[in-house]
Amino acid sequence: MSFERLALPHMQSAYNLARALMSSPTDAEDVVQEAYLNAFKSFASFRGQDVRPWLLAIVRNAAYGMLRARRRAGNVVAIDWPGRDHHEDLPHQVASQEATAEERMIAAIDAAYVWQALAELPAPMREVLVLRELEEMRYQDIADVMSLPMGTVMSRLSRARRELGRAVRRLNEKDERSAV
Amino acid sequence: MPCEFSEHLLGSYLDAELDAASAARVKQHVAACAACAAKLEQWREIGAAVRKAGPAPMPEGLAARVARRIEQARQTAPVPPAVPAPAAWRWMAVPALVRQAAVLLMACGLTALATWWTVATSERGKLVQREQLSAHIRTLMQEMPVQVASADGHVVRPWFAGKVDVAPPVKDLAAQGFPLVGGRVDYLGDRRVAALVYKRRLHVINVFAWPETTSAAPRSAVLQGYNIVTWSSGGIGYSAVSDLNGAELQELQQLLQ
Repeated sequence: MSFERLALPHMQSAYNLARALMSSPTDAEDVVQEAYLNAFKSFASFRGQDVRPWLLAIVRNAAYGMLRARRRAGNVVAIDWPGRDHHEDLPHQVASQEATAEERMIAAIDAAYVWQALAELPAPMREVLVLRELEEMRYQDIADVMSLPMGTVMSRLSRARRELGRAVRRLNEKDERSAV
Repeated sequence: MPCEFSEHLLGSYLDAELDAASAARVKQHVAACAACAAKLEQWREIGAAVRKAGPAPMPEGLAARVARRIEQARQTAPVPPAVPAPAAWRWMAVPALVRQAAVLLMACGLTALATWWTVATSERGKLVQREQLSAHIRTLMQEMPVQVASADGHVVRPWFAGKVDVAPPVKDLAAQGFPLVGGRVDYLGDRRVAALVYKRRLHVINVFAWPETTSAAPRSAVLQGYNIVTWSSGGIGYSAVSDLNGAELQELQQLLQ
């Protein structure tokens, strides 16, 4: 099976991860292009079952490589997130219809804040959330992509969820105060 | 009052990573604990919101640009060999008849391989030892011979899972004078193998591990002044390489067996 047939179908996943790590769509595209070239060059050594974790690990390396180079050059790395500009389009209630009182209270956390809050998280938190929630990967695959033990993946995911929840609440409260 | 229930468990439950018994335990707790139920609901909601916003919109023509660059690379660079992939993804795609033929062919191939194997083993053994020694010397030239630095076997062994064909049992032998430095993935004999790094005083010891079906008693060899002890047990082949003296290296071998 050719490299193209195996790897090109995963470009959306590659771009999602690149976009989670890089501040602009242009940088994300550069990362994806570089990653695919690197993947192509090292394809001969690919022995795995599943091309996606292998490919995403290469995307991640390319992204962090570029971020490191930027940092060395003294540029500030901005954090942004796709969808941030049009978060108004998001539905405001995600809770199910037979939500209990308790659930309704929590559901008051506006889904739109999630995007703003995501942008405030550090990159390692963002990438683990993207791999889990957007790519819906198993812990084992995430561990492979991030070259981390499974236990660390779990801690990082817990922390990312906790911090995101906190950031969403903070934004929500700030908004309510300014509304009053 | 915040609940002390493990967030790892809660998260693994949400992500369907738990076995049935643990999942039932979490479910029972969540039913009784409002704080955890709320947390779970919030996490669920965050996940749903991320998914709802969906994939990042890709720049137009990205796929074409990537394909073009790969094509250019293919023309300018030496062609990388097609993957001789044994993997499952190909398997599912072929029709049944072809699959059966493949199984037959594979059986023939395996027989031939087995014959070749017995003939070539002695020659191969030397080659493998040479490779192991090279890998060992490479690590001596690096600042950090490990990718995961931990003296805890329960950290090092799970780290290997999915990275190599077989994750060997990992023991810290600090009490016996062989402290565990950590582990890394190395590439030997055309495959990824687990490498454990131990120390004895100032000597670095690499212990390589790979799947091996036959059991073999330990054999010692000396190559370029380095000692190599090779053995296999429990479906895993091992090779310990070091400039440590042969007697002490054998001592480590016995501790690991």
